[in-house]
Amino acid sequence: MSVITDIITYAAPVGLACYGGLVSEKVGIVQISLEGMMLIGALTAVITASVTGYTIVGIIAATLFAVLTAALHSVFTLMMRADHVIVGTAVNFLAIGITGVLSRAFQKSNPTILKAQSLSPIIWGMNALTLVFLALVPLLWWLLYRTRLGIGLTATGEHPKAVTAAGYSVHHYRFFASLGCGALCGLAGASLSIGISNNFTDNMTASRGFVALALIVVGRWSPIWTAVGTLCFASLDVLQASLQAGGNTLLPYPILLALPYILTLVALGTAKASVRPPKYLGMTSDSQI
Amino acid sequence: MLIALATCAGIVSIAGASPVAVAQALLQGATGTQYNISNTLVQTIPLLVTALAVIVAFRAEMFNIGVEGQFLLGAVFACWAGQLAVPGPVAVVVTLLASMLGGALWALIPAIMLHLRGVQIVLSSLIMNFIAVQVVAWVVRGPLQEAVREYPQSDPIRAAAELPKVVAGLQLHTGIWIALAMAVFFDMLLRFTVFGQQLKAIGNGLRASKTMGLPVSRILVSTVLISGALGGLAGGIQIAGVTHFLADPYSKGYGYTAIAVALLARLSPVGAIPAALLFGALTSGSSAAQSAGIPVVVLQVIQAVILFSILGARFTRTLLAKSGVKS
Amino acid sequence: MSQPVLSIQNITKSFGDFVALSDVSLNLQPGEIHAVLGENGAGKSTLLNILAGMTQATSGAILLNGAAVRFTSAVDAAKAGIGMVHQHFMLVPTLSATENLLLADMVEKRDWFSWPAGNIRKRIANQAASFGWDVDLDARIDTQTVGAQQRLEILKALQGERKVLLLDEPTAVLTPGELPGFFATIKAIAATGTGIIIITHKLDEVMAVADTVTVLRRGKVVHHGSTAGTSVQDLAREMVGDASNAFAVLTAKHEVSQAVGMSDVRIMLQDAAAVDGESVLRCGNLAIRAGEIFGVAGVDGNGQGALAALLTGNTELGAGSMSINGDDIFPHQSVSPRSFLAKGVSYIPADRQQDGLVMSMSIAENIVLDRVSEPTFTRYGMLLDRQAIREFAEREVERFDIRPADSSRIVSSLSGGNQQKVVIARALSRNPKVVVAVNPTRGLDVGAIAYVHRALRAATANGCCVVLISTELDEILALSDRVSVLYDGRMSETMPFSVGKVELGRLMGGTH
Repeated sequence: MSVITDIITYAAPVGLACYGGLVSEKVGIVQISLEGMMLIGALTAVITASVTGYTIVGIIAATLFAVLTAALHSVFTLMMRADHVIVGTAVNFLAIGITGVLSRAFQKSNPTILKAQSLSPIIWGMNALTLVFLALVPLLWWLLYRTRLGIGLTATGEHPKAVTAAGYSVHHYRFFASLGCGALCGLAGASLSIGISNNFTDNMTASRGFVALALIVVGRWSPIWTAVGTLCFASLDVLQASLQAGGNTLLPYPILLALPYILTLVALGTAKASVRPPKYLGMTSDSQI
Repeated sequence: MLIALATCAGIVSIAGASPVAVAQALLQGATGTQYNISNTLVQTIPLLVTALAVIVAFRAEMFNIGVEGQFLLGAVFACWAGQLAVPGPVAVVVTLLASMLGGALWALIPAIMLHLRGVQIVLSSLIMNFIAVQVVAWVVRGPLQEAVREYPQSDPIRAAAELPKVVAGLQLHTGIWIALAMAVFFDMLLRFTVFGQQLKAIGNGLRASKTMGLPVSRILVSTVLISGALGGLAGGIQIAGVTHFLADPYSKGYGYTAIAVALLARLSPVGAIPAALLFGALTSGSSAAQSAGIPVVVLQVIQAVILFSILGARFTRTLLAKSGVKS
Repeated sequence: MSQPVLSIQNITKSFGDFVALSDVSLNLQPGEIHAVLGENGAGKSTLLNILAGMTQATSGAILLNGAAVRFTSAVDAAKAGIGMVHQHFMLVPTLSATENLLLADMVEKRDWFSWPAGNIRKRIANQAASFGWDVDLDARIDTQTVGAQQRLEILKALQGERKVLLLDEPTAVLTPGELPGFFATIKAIAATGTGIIIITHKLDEVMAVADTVTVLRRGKVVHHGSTAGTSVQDLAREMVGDASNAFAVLTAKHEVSQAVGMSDVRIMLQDAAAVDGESVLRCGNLAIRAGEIFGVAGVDGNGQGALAALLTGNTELGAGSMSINGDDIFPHQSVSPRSFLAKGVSYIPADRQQDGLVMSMSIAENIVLDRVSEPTFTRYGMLLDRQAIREFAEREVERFDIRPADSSRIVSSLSGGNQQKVVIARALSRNPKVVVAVNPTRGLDVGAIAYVHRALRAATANGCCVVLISTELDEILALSDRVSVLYDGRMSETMPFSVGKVELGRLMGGTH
């Protein structure tokens, strides 16, 4: 049982980021910056949690700052119509840089700040944010497929003209989705820093944000399949950790670490040709009003 | 640019240091002594070659974010080839050629996935990066590990396979000539050859190129492979010229920084020279400045700010052009 | 005479210098079915867009039930009670009908989380039943037939109180078998008091379903009256105008082509079917000889795109048989534009800016776009011989009178006519055996048009054959030796050009 809760707990950061990216891509915005927003969320969570002593403040702050980052991303992609991938990469650089700078600064002045309270386990050893992730699996499905809001989001990415013809604003949807993505990534980062580990280390996301991006594709932009993919990935992660602890001689350790990625790649490559991304993914320049 | 500087200054002050002092330290670190200058140039070399890799691919509208992985595989192949018993003068050439092969092979998988399945280069090459890191980790603990088997690193390559130093006693090695030559070569390739012209057409008008009969698939795949080879070459040069052996972890993120360099260079191979120089100076300056108490990670922030200001500048330029047309 | 539900008064619409609509007026009674007829470019779509609120008239008034209205957006028009069924559906393909209707169901207050799917389903199902339709409301749009999609689009447009329903080329996507049902639906909707305006180019449908008809030609109303008092022939004549030829008459053309005579058949299509995006060719039949100009007439959207793509290697043959220059092409055989170029097929595409030119490159670069690897333009096989390219380009610039006469100019700075000349120069300069030209003179002024026609005719002197696919009937008649008409993806039998405009117009409208 604890294995299962472990897997879910490890899956939560990637899964939350994955959902963030999913929402964003549904309206047509490519989100390379998942990694960066996660990092910012992680650091903010740790710092505010230890300063105030309340983890809930940490979570809120993480969300807030990640949303700000998403807003920055939106300014450049939606308003200045710059290329999504470039902007996303720039955001990542920025995030790595700022978090690095700040964490070092704190390290010198006040190291304990970086060792935060951790979220206490609530049910079966899973903490609040892990539960949020679990709850999101059906919730996001409901949101996307059973509410008008979800329809609007999907339509914005598939047929923006129809959305405008129906009287809604494509811009509003895109902006909203972008900020939502930020919020989810903030939560993802928080679940990493105060959920799993109790501190912030340099570049602690370890490219999980990019893995999340790939998992969106593998999960065919659907909340359920994405969750499945995330859990598979997390299982492999947990598996390799336990194998390492148990001193395995079967596969060289690095190969084990690479296995989840290799499988992701294979999944990408063997995805049916019928799986296709939202039609207007990446195309948010003016003709789409 | 001014906004960029101001933001940098702001962030630096938050970090608890005076911006002026930082700037001074950076400058000193980059150019102060002969040693520092050579260090700057040494840092520039991998940045230049990897930026070229990014530029070539980007000219065809392909975002090869996997240069990092190609760099690593190039290093791996170079390390292996550098230990082969090959006659003296040929050793360096073999090593570098092997590194190009390694990089190209690593880019082959994303290229195939693009050609057969239409998988975007961004995603596939990104994942290849992570796998590449593990490949290096495995290789230095396994097949290529040093004979004494003490640390996760390889034996050094043979002396014959090393890139000689330009000036005795300094770090700077002949890789710099190779890098510069590559920049010039690719600039000429893009401007003067059939391939370059075809690439230009595809990058600027994909639909028209397809409809009008250009061999689009073939050219795109070739471009990815060339980009990979360049990335690998950067890794090979790093092995042959600087470290002489492979360790885990190996890269300092050159492949990612290369993206910023490429954009700053406005996708011009020759323009990549000063752009790479700038970043090289920042890198070496900041590592020297570290002793003055400035964190190295500031570099990342500066990179990001530069990128953002480029994007912002481009936007304001188009905005001005549009309003200019109207009036 | 009851008050008209919709009254259009003296509407004029100009786009800069170009006048799309000029002093157009019409009245629509409640329950009346009114057809607006015209060729491409007559202004039909513009009129509809104004009524639906997607664009505004330059001058004139619109009255709805006697009250003047002004729409600033599509939503305004919809709220006022004007529903529109678009030619290109506003249905999100990956959603189901119910979901699309949920999106379109305008809500005054933005209740994001409501899901009255049950209500909507019931309402739509009832409406569909009242028309006798069998619709699937839960399947994804993109899994349904086009006819079914259109029914859903119509249902979508009928939501809310609709005083007026606008339909843009509604039968463009229906099979002949689906037509009776469609007519019955329209009549049923009209019977409820909604006024209906149908934009169409199909003459027999106008006669079958409309009460009144207005014919537009070049933005002006040329005929208005009830359908009872007119005939298909009359309408055809009004649509295409007199036989006065606006293009330069080219002498001696037919004598030349007669002389070439029974030489080899260059292109042959037999029951050919192909698909290119949304354009569908269902049955193509032709046998074109060397030295001949073969015209394919038809209103836009009847399969021209697919035919052109098939003939140039941009799409594969779906069924039937095909042979180009002696090479047989089999169904599902993979083809490429490159291989067709090698067979000697040159393409002048319909959309010169997307498919014909790389806009940011120079004239010279565009002229040699696909030929840069040839020995003529290279040195040592790999390097560009810029000198040779420039000289070649300059010769072509002079030959085709491209202005400004500077081959290093970027193509995007050229006028439409000169851009087209670049495309044509490229196509003709390689001495092709076949030229496929689609709407080659679209957007060009009279002088440029004459030039293009001369160039195409001159090309045939070398034994080249030209497939001219054009929506301009005058052009077809001025150039072609023999013609066929594309309607609903099917090609009519081949006729000599002398068959005349009225007959062709009739065929273009679908009557047999």
